[in-house]
Parts: sequence; C-alpha cells; structure tokens
Amino acid sequence: MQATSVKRHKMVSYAKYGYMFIAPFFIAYAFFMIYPLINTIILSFKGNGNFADQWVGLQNFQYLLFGGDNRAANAIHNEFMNSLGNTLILWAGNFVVQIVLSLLLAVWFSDVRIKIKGTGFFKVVMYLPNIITAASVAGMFLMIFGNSKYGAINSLLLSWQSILEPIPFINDVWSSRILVMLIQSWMWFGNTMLLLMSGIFGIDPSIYEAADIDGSSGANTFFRITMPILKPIFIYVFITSMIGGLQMFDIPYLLHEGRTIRPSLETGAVFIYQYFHQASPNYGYSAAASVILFVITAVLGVIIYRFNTDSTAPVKKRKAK
Amino acid sequence: MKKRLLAALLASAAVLSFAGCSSNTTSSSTSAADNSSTPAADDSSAADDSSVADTASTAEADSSAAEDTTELKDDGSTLSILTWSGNSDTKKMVEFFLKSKGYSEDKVTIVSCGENGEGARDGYKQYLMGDGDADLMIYDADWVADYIYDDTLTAPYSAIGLSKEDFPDAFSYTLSYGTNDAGVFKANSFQATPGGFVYRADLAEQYLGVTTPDEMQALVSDWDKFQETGAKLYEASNGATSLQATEGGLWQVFQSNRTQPWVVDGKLVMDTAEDFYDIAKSMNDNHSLAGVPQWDAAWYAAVLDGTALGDFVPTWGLTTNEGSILFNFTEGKDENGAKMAMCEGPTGWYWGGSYIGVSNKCDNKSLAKEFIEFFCKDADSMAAYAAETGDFVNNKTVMSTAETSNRLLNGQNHYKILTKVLDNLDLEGKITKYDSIIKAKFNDSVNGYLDGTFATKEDAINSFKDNVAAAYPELVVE
Repeated sequence: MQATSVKRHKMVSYAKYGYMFIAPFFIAYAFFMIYPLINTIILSFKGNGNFADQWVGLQNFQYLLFGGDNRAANAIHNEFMNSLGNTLILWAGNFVVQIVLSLLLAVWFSDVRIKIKGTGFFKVVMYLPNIITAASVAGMFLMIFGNSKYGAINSLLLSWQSILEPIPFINDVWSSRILVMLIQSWMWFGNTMLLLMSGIFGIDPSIYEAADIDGSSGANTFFRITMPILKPIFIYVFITSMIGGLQMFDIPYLLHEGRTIRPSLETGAVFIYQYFHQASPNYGYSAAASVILFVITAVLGVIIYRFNTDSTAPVKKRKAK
Repeated sequence: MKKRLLAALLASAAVLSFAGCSSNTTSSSTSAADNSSTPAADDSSAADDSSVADTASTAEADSSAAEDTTELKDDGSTLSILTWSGNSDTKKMVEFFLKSKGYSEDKVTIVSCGENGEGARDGYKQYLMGDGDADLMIYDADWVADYIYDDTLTAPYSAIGLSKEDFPDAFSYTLSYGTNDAGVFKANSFQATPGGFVYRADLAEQYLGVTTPDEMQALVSDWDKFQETGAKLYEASNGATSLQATEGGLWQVFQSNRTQPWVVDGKLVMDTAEDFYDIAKSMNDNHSLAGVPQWDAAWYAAVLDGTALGDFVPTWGLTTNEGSILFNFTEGKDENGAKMAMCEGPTGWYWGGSYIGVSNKCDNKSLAKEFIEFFCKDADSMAAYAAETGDFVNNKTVMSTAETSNRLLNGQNHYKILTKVLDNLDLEGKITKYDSIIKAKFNDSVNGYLDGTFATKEDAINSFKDNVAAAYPELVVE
C-alpha cells in the first residue's frame, strides 16, 4: 500500500482512515440515537394498544395536554399533569438543597484563608454517594424508612416510645417526596461541588488578594467576586441539573414498597416508562410524552442560556469600545 | 483494505452484539438413541404413534372453528423448547423426559429467550420473528394470554393432535386458562398452583383454641367467618397478632370468586371486586390485616415473630427449597416448621404457574405431542416427575393419592389440602387477556384505599377505572 502511494506522487490523504476509525461510533450513534429519536416522533402520531398501526394525528398530544371527552383521555391527562408537577417539585426541592450545600462546601474548600486540611479526602467521600447504584441507594433508604414497624427509623422510634404507630414514610405523599429530594441531593451534591470548585480555582487569585488588601469581607468577596465570575459554571450546573431533573427516573421509580410506584413520585420519565412497558403497550402516549418533555427541556435550556448570556454580552461590547 | 474490513467488522459487531436469543443445546452428544428405555416409556411412545395417525380426526372432532388452518410439519431434527434462563423447571423437565424415554440428548434443545419471565414475554416474539427453530414454548401464567390470542405466533393443540378431552384428569381451571375467547385450546399446564392458608399453629392454639387444621378451617371457611376470626384473634392476643399478613395474598384468593370475567363484550365488569374494598378496609380497620408488603423482609418477619398469624401460600411457595415463602416464614428451621400448619381457606384459588404452548413454526409435531402428553396427560410419568421434584403436577388422580410430609409444615401432607382447594375452583370462561394488568391496577387501588391515598371507596374505584381505561384504549369503561 505504501509503495503504490509513493508512485502516484500525490499528497497522501490519511483522512479516510480517520473516517474509518470514527465510523463505528457514528454508525452506532445513528442506529441507537438518531433512529430512535425520529421513530419516537413518528410513534407520537400513532395510536395505542390495539390501534398501534393507525395514524391519529395530534390526538395523543391533545389527550396528554388537554384531556378529552372520554374517561381514558381525562385519566391520561390528569396522570400526565400530575407527573409533570411531581417532576417540577422533586427537581426544584432537590436543586435548592443541592446547590446551597455544594456552593457552601466549594467555597470553604477553596478558600485560601481557611486552609482546610485533607480536602482530597473530603472530596472523595462526598463524591462517593454518586458512585453507588441507584438501586442500592433506594434499597438502603427503603430499609431505613420502611413503612412498617420493621423499618429502621420506625423500630427505633417505637422502642423509644416516641410514636405509637409506625409512620408510613414511603406511603405518605410529602414524606416520600422529601425523601426523594434528599436522596437526589445527597447523591449529586458531590458532583456539583467538584464542578463549582473547579470554577472557583479558575478565578485569578490576584483578584482575591486585591479584595483582601482593600478590606473586603468574606461575604462581600463571595457576592461581588466569586459569584459573578462563577456565573458560566453556575449556568452550566443549572442547565445540566435541570435536564437531569426532567429525566429523573431511578429513585422515584424504585422507592416504593409493594408492587407499584407511588403516584406522588411518578415523574415524567416514569410516566413514559409505565405507558411504554404495559402488556398492551401504549407507544403513542409514551412517545408523545417524550416529545413534550423534549420540547420543554429544549425551550427551558434556550431561555436560560439566552437570559444569561445576553445580560453579559453588552457589557463586554461596551468594554471593547 | 485490512483496516477497512476491520472497521466494518467492528461496526457490525457493535450493532449485532445487541441481537436476541441464545440457543444452548443441552449437550451435543451425537450417539444414537441409547437402548436403556424402560417398558413404560416404550408403551407410551407406541400409543403415541397410533394417535398421530388420527390427528386429522381429532382436529375435525373439535367443535371450535378456525383451528384446522394450521398445518404443522413433522420432519424437524430436534424439539426446540423456548424458555427463559432463570426457569430451572424446564431444564429439569427436559432432562427427566430424555432420561425416562431413553432418548439421546440432541433430541431436545432448550432455547433461552431472556433471563426471567418478563424478558421471555418479549423475547419469544423477537425470536419467533427470526428464522430459529421453535416447537414448544413455556409461558408464565401472567402472560399466557399474550400468546394464545396471537394466531400469527402460536398453533392450537389440535394441530398436534390433542384436545381438551385428552386431559380428563387435569384440574379444570388450567384448561380454561389455556383457552382463548374463540374457544381455541392453545396451552395446558404441567403443574397446578393452588394454595392454602398457612398459619402459626402454636398461636392459633393459644389464642383461638384450635389444635388441628380441620378446626382452623372451620374458623375461616368463608369470608364472613374469616373476618370474624380476624377480629376475635386480635382481641384475644391483646393486639399482638393479626390474622392475615398481606393485602396482596388476600386479594389473590378473593379474585377467584368472580362470577364473570373482567371484560365482557369489550366492557369492564367489576362484579364481586367492589366487595373486596369493603372486606380489605374492614379487616384493615379492625387490625385483622397486618398490612406488611408482599415480597419484603417485613412479610416474613411478621409471620416469624407472630405479628401475623399467617398468609395464603401457593404450591410453589410451599417447597422446602431455600427462598420459598414457607422457607422464609420458618427460616428453614425444623423447630419453626413444627409450629406451622395449613388449611384450605375460604375459597378455591390458584396463583401463577407455567404453561406449555405450541409454536406455529413447530416442525416436530409428534415429538411435541409426546412431550406434552408426558407432562400433562400420562399418569405414570407425571407421578414419577412429582415424586422426583416435589412439583404439584396437573393431574387429579396422581395428586389425590400422592404422599408427602412437609418438614416445614409440621409433617403435614399438604397435597391433600391443595387438591381439595382446587375442587372449589371454576374458571371456565372467566379468563381474559386483560387480566394481569387489570389485577395489578385493582390491587394498587385497594392498597391506595387502605393507606389513605383515596379518601373513599368511590375515589378508589374511580382511580382503578381511570387506570384501566388509560391502559387499554380499546375497552369501554363506565
């Protein structure tokens, strides 16, 4: 092969080998990502159960978003709206706790004046929950917060005689939601903390020194220097967390006793899975719900991105002038 | 060139590695059929030959329409049985079949589609769409209906020369279970799965004053008595012991009470199901129900520590194998087993089980027939299989005379009680393909009613109907 290319007296293009090497990825990508994406959109215009082959136009979207004149349509509408509400509640609750905790820790760990020892150790420990499989985490919390008197917390409280009847932590609407929020924040605050820390370390230390010399207080430094410079990282964390939150599935799906998921924990992704996985698969509804979630995610992402970049862009331009 | 080939190979490997089923021949010993077959086995295969001849006549004799359209071949080299890899029964059955018939091991091939029953449910469809060999399929009771209603995948029993009349000793509910709406008989079970009320005999004696299973049965022989006994027990034990551990077990039994199928002419029918809300609620309110979840450590603990007197357990939960329900109730210890006993309970019922169906690709119909007859019809082979494995085979005569002494039930012969349970069970015409989903949705709504998610019975029923309507667009739900 080498001999022939020398004879041709041409520039040898090695590009084709590059394409060959990346081809497997793109083939797999097209097969497993592009095709399902397009197929999902097609399915969202088709019927459900026995009518899976029929084209129904926008009926699935109509049922999901506005209900209809029959029991099935209204039931699906209510369930879907409930699942969107749950998604929002669970994500918002988890995000607030998570961001406050990880921001606080990130600032402390990166503060040159405090000089905490063994930050490496703490970073690892705090990241660890993220490594545990969601199934194990859910199993662990189910054991701790079990509904019956055999749950760890319940059996403790009962033996201390603080309560007379076991508390149904998992079955109660709000305690189950709070549990999911806590689990999600616990699992993800380490990850967020590392992202924020890398952002903080990227800030020029001379700025902090200058602030220090000018007599800026810790709070003042944080709000006037760290936060504004950290904004791009902050936006990144916000958007990724939001996308992750809209797809929240594992913990809400797993945290239940008995056979089926709790209605108070049914998120959008769980809704899609439930309808997709029934014995008589309702592909139409779940595909339409997927498309709706996709649109919501895309719109929110664009809004937040625009909102944040536009406010800083003019400042830069003015400076340039 | 080499690189391009390699790239193409890698790409196709990446794509293809996701494809479906694995076929593992039990073993590929090519030796001819060895001659150690028993006389009994010879008899049955001789009988088999003669019945193959009148395949056509039995098919005609069958009253139901649309059955004769399936023509199956008989020139296949090996009998392929679809199952899932976690199903140890199939493996045992095949080994037992080959050994007793004296066949060589390449006569039957086991094809595993998926790791568990749920995986096989979709796995079979994918496998059947390909061009792999498939003769028989093992179904889980939960989704028998997926296949017996699908004429593009399965053939009726008449196509291999079998009809319901060939199984006079089968427990009648299994035959109803394998028959679809059109009356076509498409699957039969090799096992029956009745169950009884397993309870703590020591506590029953202490609080209720009963010493034998018969006396206990008198206290729980119908639903009213069951509830009365529950109230009495809770009072007598000073609030320490509830009669029944789980709502799920209660419902498994109660649902066999239906007088109509769940779906009639495309409409959802509640029938007796509405009463169950009241029974479960009143039992919950007067603490006859311990309210622990099924399949949870709390379930086993509740019976072990006497929070619940007992629960309903089917055949497959009554084995002494590690992990069975009874094993967990007693921690597998003889001294705990000595405290247990079992009675029939309020009504005939069953729970789960596996069925054998025929693929419409079947190219080995005489061997397929032989296999089904071996496990579902011939009393001798069924009795031998029951003796070998302890399974509750689908044969009234065999099971009514079978002897066993369950060390975890204080040596009780539970077969005797289980055959009685099945006498009270009639499911003729009450099975629909919607059952497994409808039952699950119903159970959810009852649980929601008990734990306060729904304030009233009406709310719970409404939510149940909503869920069914949403799951099945083709059903009319009022």
